[in-house]
Amino acid sequence: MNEKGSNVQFEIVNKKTGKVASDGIFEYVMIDLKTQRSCKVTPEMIEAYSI
Amino acid sequence: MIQNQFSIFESELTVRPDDIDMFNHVHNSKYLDYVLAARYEQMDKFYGMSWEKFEELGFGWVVARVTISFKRPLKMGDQMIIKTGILEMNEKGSNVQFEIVNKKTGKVASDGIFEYVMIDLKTQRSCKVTAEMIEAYSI
Repeated sequence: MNEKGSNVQFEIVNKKTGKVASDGIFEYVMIDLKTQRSCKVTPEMIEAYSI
Repeated sequence: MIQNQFSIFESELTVRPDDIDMFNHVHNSKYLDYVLAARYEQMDKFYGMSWEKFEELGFGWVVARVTISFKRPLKMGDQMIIKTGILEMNEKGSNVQFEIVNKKTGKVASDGIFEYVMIDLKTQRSCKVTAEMIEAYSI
C-alpha cells in the first residue's frame, strides 16, 4: 500500500476441507469522486490500513 | 488484441441496471460475466461446437485463472462489443484473450485473459482436450 494504491491478496478456504478454493490479487487505485480520476492515497489512510 | 492464427469473434451486450455499483458504473465482477456470456454465445455461433455439445460428450470447461485489466468505466445503458480469441489451445486447455470495447467511444473498457481447463463431468477432474476439439476450435 502506497500513495499510488493498494494490492490486496486473498485466499478463499473451504471451511470443511481446509483446502484453498481460490486465491488471487486485487489491485486497487483510489479515485476522487468529483473528478472520477485517480488520486493519491493520503498518509492518514495508509497509516489506518497499516495494521 | 494479439493477432495470431486464431480468429477473433465479437458479441454485443448492453449494461443492465443490476450491473451498476455504488460508483454508478459497472461493478468489476460483472466484466467476468460479460466475457463468459460472450464466449458461451461464440462457442455455438462461430465454432459450431457449443457448450451443450461438450456437455453431451461428458466434458466441461472451467476457468482456472483470470487476469482482468479495468481501463475505463462502463455506465448504465452503454453498449459494448466483447471480442474474444484463442491465444493458445492444446491438450491441457485453452487461453482466451478478450477485450471489451465501449461501442459509443470505441475505447477499450477492459481486457485480459481467461485460462480454461477441460474437466470430465463424471470425475470432475481435469482431462485432456481431444484432437477433434482442438481442430474445431482452430479457426
